[in-house]
Amino acid sequence: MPSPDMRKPILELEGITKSYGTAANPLPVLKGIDLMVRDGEYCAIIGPSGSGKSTLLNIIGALDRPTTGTYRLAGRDVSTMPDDELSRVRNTRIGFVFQSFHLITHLTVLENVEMPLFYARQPKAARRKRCLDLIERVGLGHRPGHLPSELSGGERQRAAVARALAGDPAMILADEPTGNLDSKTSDEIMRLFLDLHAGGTTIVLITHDPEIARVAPRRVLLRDGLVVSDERESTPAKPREPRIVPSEVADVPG
Amino acid sequence: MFLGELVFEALRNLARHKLRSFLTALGIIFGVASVMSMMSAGEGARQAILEQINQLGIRNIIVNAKKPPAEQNAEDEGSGFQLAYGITFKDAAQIAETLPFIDSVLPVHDKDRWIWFKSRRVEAKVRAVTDDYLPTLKLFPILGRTLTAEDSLERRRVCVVRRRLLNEARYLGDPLKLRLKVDTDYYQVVGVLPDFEFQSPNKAALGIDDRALEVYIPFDTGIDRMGIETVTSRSGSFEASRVELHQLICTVNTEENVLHAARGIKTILESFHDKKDYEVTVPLELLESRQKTQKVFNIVLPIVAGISLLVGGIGILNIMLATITERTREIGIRRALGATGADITSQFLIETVTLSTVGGLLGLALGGAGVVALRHFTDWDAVVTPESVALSLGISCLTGVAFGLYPARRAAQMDPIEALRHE
Repeated sequence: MPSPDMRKPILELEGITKSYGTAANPLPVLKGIDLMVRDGEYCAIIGPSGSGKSTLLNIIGALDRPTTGTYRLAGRDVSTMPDDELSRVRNTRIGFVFQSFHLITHLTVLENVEMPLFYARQPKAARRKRCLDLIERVGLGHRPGHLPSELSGGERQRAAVARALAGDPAMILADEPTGNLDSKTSDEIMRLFLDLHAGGTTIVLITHDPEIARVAPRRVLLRDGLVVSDERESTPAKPREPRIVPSEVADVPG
Repeated sequence: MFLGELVFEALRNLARHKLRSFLTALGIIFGVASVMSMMSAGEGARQAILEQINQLGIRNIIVNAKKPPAEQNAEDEGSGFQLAYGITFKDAAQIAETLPFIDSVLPVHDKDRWIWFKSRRVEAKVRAVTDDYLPTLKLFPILGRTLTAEDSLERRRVCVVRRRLLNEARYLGDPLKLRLKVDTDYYQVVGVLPDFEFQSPNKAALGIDDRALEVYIPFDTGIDRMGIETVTSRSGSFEASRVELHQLICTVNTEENVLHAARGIKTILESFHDKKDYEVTVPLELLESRQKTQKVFNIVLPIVAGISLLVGGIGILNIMLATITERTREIGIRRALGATGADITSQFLIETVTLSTVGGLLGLALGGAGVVALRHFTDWDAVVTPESVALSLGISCLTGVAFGLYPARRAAQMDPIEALRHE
């Protein structure tokens, strides 16, 4: 594995600010953030509520534009793109995993996972094959035709991870992915992320919980709209009591 | 491909809320059904009139003798036992000689008679007609020949009959070998006419009725052998009538002159007749009145179509706005996963158009049922035309586009971040 500094940057934030409110009475939320995440990194952004975490998430997720500063995603400047191009960027470069799963309730797991590829206008057959593989990989191979309401929380989040991976994005952007899960399923999802990381996927995880962030090899601490610390560990902590790997979960009935 | 999947998805969404979709589409369903059945009824009426005019001949003017109302006869009762009315030879000659546009005047004299076949008898209307009469009304024999000028000139005792007459008489042999007995005379059958079916207004105009079966004989033969006086006995008392001609068919040289000629004919008849004992039918006038109704129809139909579009469209608009609020989170998710504003617009627009088109199809089915009911329960021959189907479907599609555009645009303009947070 090449040294982290040798790999190409995926996420580059330079002097990102974001203000709400009026021009006369601005309400700065982000006050100049510099951050670089390289290909294959697993980076947790930790911030208590009010630190500008959600605002940063929206900017990194290309859902919103910064007030000032430059944001390059996989080499392309995203900070000034028009809406339709931002949609393209979200579609092809970013895989979202949300706290409340955000699966479309009336579509099956497979259809949910297919959605990014649908908007990428991929032909149905190719789409289907790739997505079934991904569903298998996250350990839901036995229920691609189920509706989200028929799944447990952990299974829903696995489906969401599969969906995030579907478009083969430059990075996975996870927003409190374990926020709605109990500690056991929480650990399973974190393990899934570690597996993906081991496979070379770039992951940016945003959370308020230092416990969750502990798993990530790199932790960026956000406070009052500024990065206050950026620590790396050569050997990150393992998740609490790692017991079963996801592929084995699939074999457990029920 | 992308479009196909969106339509499929839209259909699935509609099927998820069957009752709601149905109620939403109800306005469209009734609108389309009414437009379609209206157009079909109008088209049926148009075809009926055209066929009617075609049967009677657009350049013809038909004058029928009519028994005058009873009170007008009172003065005649004293002067004799004979009731004289109807068209006279003088009328016919006057029309033929004084009006410039008339090509020909065809006189007809009718007698109701028993026709005998051996021991069977059938009541028939014997019509003494000139040789031009049958071709003018496009009545051509399916067997044998029509009447000729010579038949009349030589006072031949020949006749042309309707096939139904042969059926009524249970005659199974060769019709052309048949001799019919009318009164005391025998007439050789020389031609058989098909079982033509006239429309009911035309039957009146031509003096044909359903139960009478016509036997056509040469004009002069008829006048010579049967005379112009008729004595009928009814419940013991005799009634005599004298009618010179029962019908005149005047053919005008060109279509433009028909209305002038009709005015001339009416003027001549008015000056010769004190009583209203005749009736003038001008097929072209039917066409004119038809064109007037068509004009009214051309105004009413777009109004009905417009109202149905509006009512159906508002229902759809309403439910789509509600749907979009209900599905805000879905819209946010789709946007986050890379759907552009245009993708969202097309998704909801297609859903609306699918709803209105399905409504349109149901409306067509209902309209079709309406047409069947019209045909069954009234004498309107409503006709479903491809244009009415296309127009109805077009209206429903258009409604979907017109009223789906606003909700779809609103969905597309939602802020993805807000939409994702929506509970």
